[in-house]
Amino acid sequence: MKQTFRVLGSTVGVLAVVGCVAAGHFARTRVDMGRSVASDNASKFIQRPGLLASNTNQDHLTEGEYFYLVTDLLHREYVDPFEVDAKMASGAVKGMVNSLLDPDSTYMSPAAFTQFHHVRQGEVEGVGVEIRYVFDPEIMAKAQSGSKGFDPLLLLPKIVVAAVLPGGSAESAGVQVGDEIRTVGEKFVITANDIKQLRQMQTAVNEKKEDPLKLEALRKELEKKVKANITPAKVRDQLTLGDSGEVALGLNRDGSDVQVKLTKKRYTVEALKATAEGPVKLRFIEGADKALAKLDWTQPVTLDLRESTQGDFAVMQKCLDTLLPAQTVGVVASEGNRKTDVVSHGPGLRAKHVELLVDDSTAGAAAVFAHSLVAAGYATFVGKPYNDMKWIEEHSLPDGSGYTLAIGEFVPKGKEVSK
Amino acid sequence: MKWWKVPVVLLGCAGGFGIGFFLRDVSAGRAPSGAALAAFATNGNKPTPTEVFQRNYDTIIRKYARSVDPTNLRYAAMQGAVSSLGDPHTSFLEPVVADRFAMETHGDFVGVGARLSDDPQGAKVAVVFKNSPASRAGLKVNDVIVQVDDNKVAGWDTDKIVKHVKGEAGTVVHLTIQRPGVAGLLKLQATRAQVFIPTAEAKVLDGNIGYISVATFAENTPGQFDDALQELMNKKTEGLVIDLRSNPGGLLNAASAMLGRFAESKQVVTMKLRGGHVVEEKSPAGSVWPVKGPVVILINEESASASEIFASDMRHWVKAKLVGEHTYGKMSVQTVHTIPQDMASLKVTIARYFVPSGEDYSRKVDDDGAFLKGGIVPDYPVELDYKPDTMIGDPAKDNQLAKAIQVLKGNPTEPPPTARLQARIERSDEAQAC
Repeated sequence: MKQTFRVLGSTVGVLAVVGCVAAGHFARTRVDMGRSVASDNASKFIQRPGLLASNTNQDHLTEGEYFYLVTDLLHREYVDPFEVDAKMASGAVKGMVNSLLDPDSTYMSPAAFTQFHHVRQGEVEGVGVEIRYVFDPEIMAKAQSGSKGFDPLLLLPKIVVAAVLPGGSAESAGVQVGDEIRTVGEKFVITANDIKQLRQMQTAVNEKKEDPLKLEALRKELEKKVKANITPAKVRDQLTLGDSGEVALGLNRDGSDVQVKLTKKRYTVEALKATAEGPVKLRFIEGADKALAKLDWTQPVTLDLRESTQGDFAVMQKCLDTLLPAQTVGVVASEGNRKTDVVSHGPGLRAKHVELLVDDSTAGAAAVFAHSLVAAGYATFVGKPYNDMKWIEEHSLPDGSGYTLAIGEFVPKGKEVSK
Repeated sequence: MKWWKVPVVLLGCAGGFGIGFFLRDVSAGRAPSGAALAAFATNGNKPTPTEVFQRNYDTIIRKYARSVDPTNLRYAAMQGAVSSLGDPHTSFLEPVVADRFAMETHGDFVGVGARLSDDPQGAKVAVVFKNSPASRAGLKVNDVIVQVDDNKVAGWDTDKIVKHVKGEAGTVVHLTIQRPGVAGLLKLQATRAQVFIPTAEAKVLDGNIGYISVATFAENTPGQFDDALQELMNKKTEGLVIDLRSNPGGLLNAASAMLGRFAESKQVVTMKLRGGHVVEEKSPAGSVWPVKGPVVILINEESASASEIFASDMRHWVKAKLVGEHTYGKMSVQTVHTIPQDMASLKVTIARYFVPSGEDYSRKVDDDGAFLKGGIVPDYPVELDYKPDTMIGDPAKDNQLAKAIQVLKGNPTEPPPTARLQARIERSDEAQAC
């Protein structure tokens, strides 16, 4: 009996020590990789004790393990000592988001993401425009399908003015929706079109249909532009960040060149602004829902949803709740048949007659809002909104940067989900 | 239970915890990490970089509008994480790229000996290697391969076509090609064999001048360079042009061995590693060959790394003259680690180097990546005068080479400033060897 106790006692002791080794390893994994990954690892530790001895002999690694392996190797080998920190995690996220090749899914640096939030509180910086990247649809389809049989230079987007914000210097200088930005200061925007032109000329010269000197001239011109080129992300920063200084823009408006000089400033945009003529300008920024509730709905109301391409989806959802009684207004459909209902939670309010002023500069949250109200029989369109209605989420990262992610196409109630 | 057993077990537990905690460090062969212990003791709730990555990876996979290939997403993440260091030479290479990179560094493989580039009808032949199965089979530059064995390859990725053209040594591949100016299709067959990527080639120019173009510094380049040098010495050429234009560099010991033909036991480069460790690379002893006449080296902005060391040392040691355009300006050394699970690679800068001349030519760029300054400045700057019939390596159609010959003969005159080819756009960078 006493013997049994002694064996039992030492077994418990040994088990406790072994348990502590495991706990130590678990604690370390948690420090290195984080909690969610650590618990994942712990289950593996039970199934495959090999992990305890080494992290590198497994034939399959989780994403977290892979990231740790790569960054740890870098940490140990790189010529200048550095710490694997939040910036490196953001780098990974930036890499992922950029690889989606999606103009609606964008990574933003800490400065750009901060500004993105300011805009959503009505604090606008820069020259007062919103821009849109326009890709060649054919090349984009190839790229997104993972095909490598295309020229990556053809993925350089056109940069187009999507909205001109009221009160900014772009508005007073007469910048128009649809203007293509070709130069910013001394720098050139290189687009797929420039590359295409060169390729076409090359082919024509090869087939002896064009003068080789023309090809040479075109090449020299492009060479000059490449040397002083500005990236699409930099164009966005130049136009939307900062409250002082001048920016000279070279625009292409329906084939003709237009030069404008704009001044950056900081100014406030209101969520709701009534104009003398009657329409009420609505922007999906902080406070829009509360301001909407205060309008006089016993009179016919015209909501102006133009010049709004980057509204906040969370605010737009609150506006829907404010106006529409509880109901389903559509779905967000994504590839692989995933569907999420878009619902107004109410309470809603009774309106006499609502008209929506929309055009090509009504995009994103504004377009979804407009279509929802019309599908619910609550309002009628005056004009046609931009026909691309992605539902876009935003995500923030620990270092202050963040990104937007398109999670699907909004399809209003009563319309077919395509594909 | 005896009273002393309690502290023994507690001590055992504490020790066990320590062993478990530092196991990762020990198995990686380094000292236990105090930083990790501090992190454990202080901020257990702050998400780690790995956790942040994993969380957002999951978000994108789960929520993004389109379905995403998880492996591609993983590789895009690694590329992004690695490039957050801001060092353009430290990079993550996904397996396909890593494989190609290793092949080019190695300098040989089994195949037919050609480089293919993208073409809507299949793959276009960009280069046919000398004395290769492809050249014996009669394959020519600009032929378009439309069928490989029984596979019609129109619309295929070049990667995939290359994979089909390559195969085991001794086996035969049937190629159906479309040749410009020839009606109908041609059928060729080639027997796959070990192919050496030609990296150093010699020829004799008018005026009995020797010319060796070195495309890269691969493992077998010194051997090819010796053959080239020997050929020129046999033909008794006087004066030598070494063309390093668009040579991106490669293996340092290859450059070092080649430098040994011109000067022995000289300091090639000094490398400063992490933690201040210094390593010196010297040219081999007793390896100098009696090469006749002066040496001129051609360089341009795509001459980098080992090319720059070679050019700088040759100028410093034997007063070689440099002709062409400023070089790239890379002064760091990388090593390649393979990740065993999937054969991806991590190319990491592990040292900076300094040339004996003491010159600092490291590249400086603005935040758009545009060149500001740096690179080795040539003694005789001349831009490539790009014309539709420009032919690199032909003095009549290559004004930089013409200038090099002038310099060799000792009567250089200033050429008119002319525009130069923007090689990044023009060159078919993506041509792959098969």
